Amino acid sequence: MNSLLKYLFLLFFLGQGAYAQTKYEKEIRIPTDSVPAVALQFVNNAPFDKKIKWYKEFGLNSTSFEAKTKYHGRRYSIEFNNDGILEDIEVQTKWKELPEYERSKMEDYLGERFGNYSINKLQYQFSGQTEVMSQFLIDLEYTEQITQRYEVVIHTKINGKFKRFELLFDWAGGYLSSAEFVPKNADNIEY
Amino acid sequence: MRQFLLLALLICLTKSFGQSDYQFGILPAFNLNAGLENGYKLNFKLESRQAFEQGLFEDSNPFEYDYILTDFTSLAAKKVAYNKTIAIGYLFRVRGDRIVHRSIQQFIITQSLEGLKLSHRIATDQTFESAGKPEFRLRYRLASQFALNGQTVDPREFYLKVNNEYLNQLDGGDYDLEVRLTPFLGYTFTDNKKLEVGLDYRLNSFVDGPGSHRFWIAVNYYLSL
Repeated sequence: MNSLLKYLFLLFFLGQGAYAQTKYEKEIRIPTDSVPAVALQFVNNAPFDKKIKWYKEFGLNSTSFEAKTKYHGRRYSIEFNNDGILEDIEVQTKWKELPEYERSKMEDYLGERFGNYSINKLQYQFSGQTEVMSQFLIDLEYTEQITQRYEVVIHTKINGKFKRFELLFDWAGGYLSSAEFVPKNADNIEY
Repeated sequence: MRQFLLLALLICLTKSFGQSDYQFGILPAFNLNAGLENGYKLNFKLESRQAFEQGLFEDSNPFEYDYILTDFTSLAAKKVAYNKTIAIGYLFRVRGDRIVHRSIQQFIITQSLEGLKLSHRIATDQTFESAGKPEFRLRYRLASQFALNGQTVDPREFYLKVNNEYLNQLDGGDYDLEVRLTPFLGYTFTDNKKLEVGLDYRLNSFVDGPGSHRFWIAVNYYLSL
């Protein structure tokens, strides 16, 4: 009986782990009046000069809000939790723009873990206190109060199956976490 | 948007081609896809072509139902990279008393962009029937899928799909170019069940003639297992 309980306990936690490593996102475009006031205020105070699109995102076990815009020629995503509290600011960039040391460190990790892979998307991820992040958007200068990370999306092949992963690295290129995307069906544009 | 304007332009041009012939009808299709191990996939498509009206543009043509053909197509596909697929297949066509056989080879590249998914398909096919010379085709199709709500097409959402295809045909030594433009409105019931309704417009014989126009109301249902 004891070993059965141990087995069930282990199975439960292994299952939780696998679940946590899966990423599914469904998002819908929403009008500004559906955005939490605190999130809307944060974005309205930012010096964005291009059109801002708002989305509501539904993950496997969470809901969030996201504002997307272009600023200084880059794609910005400002993410808020369900209450409108700022989670992070993501800025799209290119792999070759990264400092060589951090890039090599991440390449070493990716090569060791996945073998062959290709970079699909790369974003800087900045997070911190709302006031600090609000100031960051104005003068675009990093301070010690801002947590800086890299969010990398890759394509790879594991056990004969092509997969897509999102990985998070710290500012020095050290691995933090990863999640596998739930694939979306594209049969209707292939055949 | 540019493709819609092109379609409108093409339809307007038909008015100045009174000698051109046309067909108008429906083109329902059922697509069944089954994923297998190691990146292999099977695709089965059943498509039927039925005309309601045909003749020259300058004539007044009556509504007349005409069953034209039914196609049974099977493809075996293999993913060779995350966004690249190769496929080979066979089409069996029943057209009245005539039976047509076609072998098919395809290479497909898909691209995901912000709010847009693209699919480039380069294909060749060889058509054989007992009462005619073989026909060889080299074709390129660009399929564009636009999410109408959000950045990606999710369950219970509508989307817009526009296909644009160019077919180079060699039939018994005679060359012809066919252009197809197919705008669809699609709906995703679940990730594995999609319905599309649109217009399938085909133009050929325009290189050295007045052109032959075909307008099909297309209804596609995709089911993936």
